[in-house]
Amino acid sequence: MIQNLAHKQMAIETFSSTLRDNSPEIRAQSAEVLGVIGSYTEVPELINALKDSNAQVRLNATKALAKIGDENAIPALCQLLSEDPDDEVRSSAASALGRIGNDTAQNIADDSDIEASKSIAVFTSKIQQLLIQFEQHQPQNPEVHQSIAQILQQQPDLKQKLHQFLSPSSIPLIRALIQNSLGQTMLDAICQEVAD
Amino acid sequence: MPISNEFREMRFRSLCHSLLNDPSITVRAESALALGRLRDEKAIPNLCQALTDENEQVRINAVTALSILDESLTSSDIVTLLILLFRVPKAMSETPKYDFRGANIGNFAETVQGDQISTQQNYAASQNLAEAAAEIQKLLEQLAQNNPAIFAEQDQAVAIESLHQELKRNPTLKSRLLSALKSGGTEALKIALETILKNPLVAIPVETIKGWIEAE
Repeated sequence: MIQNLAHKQMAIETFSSTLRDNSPEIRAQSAEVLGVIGSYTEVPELINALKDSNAQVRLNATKALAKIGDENAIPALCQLLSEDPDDEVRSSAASALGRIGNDTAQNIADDSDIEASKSIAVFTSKIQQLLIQFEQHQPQNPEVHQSIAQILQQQPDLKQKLHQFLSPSSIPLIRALIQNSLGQTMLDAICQEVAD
Repeated sequence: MPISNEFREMRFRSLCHSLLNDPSITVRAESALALGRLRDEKAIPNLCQALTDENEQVRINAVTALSILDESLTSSDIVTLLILLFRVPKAMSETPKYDFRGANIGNFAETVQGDQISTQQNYAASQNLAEAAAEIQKLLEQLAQNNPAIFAEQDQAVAIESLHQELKRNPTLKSRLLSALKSGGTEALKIALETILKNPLVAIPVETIKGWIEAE
């Protein structure tokens, strides 16, 4: 972090000018740096960079604008989202549009909610995989319980992770995502094992 | 600094359009999350529609977005969801009546306890659940029978509006539907919907619906 304000201003001016460098790599790097040290003053330059011929420059500019969070970037980001030929750029434009206007704390809290939800989804698909294995030899409920106990004993890491995922609020979501009654039985067995 | 209404509206439309139309999976998936972050309940019908996306990641993100939005949901969204559920009129007429009494719904009990007493309590709870589920199913079927046109409608916006109108004309049905949903809770609704449609997608947002009903 640059402490001296005069130095910081100098750095910002340098990167604003290198945002128009001939090299696409340098333009891309400059956009990225301006996302960290830049402020509302640099927004017009970054909006301009959304029209760059190089996809990496456009991508980094969307991320920088997401960090600075100025509503004036909204029309340009919307246009990018509907017209850019690059999937990653459009995706990043969507993400930036979701963040602008929220304060940083809110965005961080949302990030962690989204991350937790993804973990639950991964966990659910793991259960579904196990389910396919189990279904092949049609075990009875005690066997399911035993197999799960065994798996969790062998993998303490997994058990620890599951313990974090399976909060009272996440269980209903997982339950809804699992469609099969044997899967429900497995979830119950897992909850019981993890709680021990 | 609050964002102007004009920009807000522009952003909302742009994200909804990408959510439902972009050819790229990552763009649709990211648009779903962005709509969740905006916390604008107008996005709920679009997110519900994304629950039928062909890609799993998009569907998962739509659920995530709905769960972020959860607190501000209204009962009119139940209507939208019901429309979605009735998108498959074939399944509706071909599905044989399901006997809930034989269903293994003891597994749905909220807490997991091994002793005899709680097993009996679970059994009693399943009986209530089965009755509520059967009631919900009956009501939904009645609604579909009286309004075949609504459920055959291909344009979702038109269908939503028609169902809105129908529920307005028939407040008794609406309140019975809601109270059945209330007494049976999430699981009853889920069982009823699964039975009617045999569509795994529709079961996903049931927890969300429960939230809407309780918020009434």
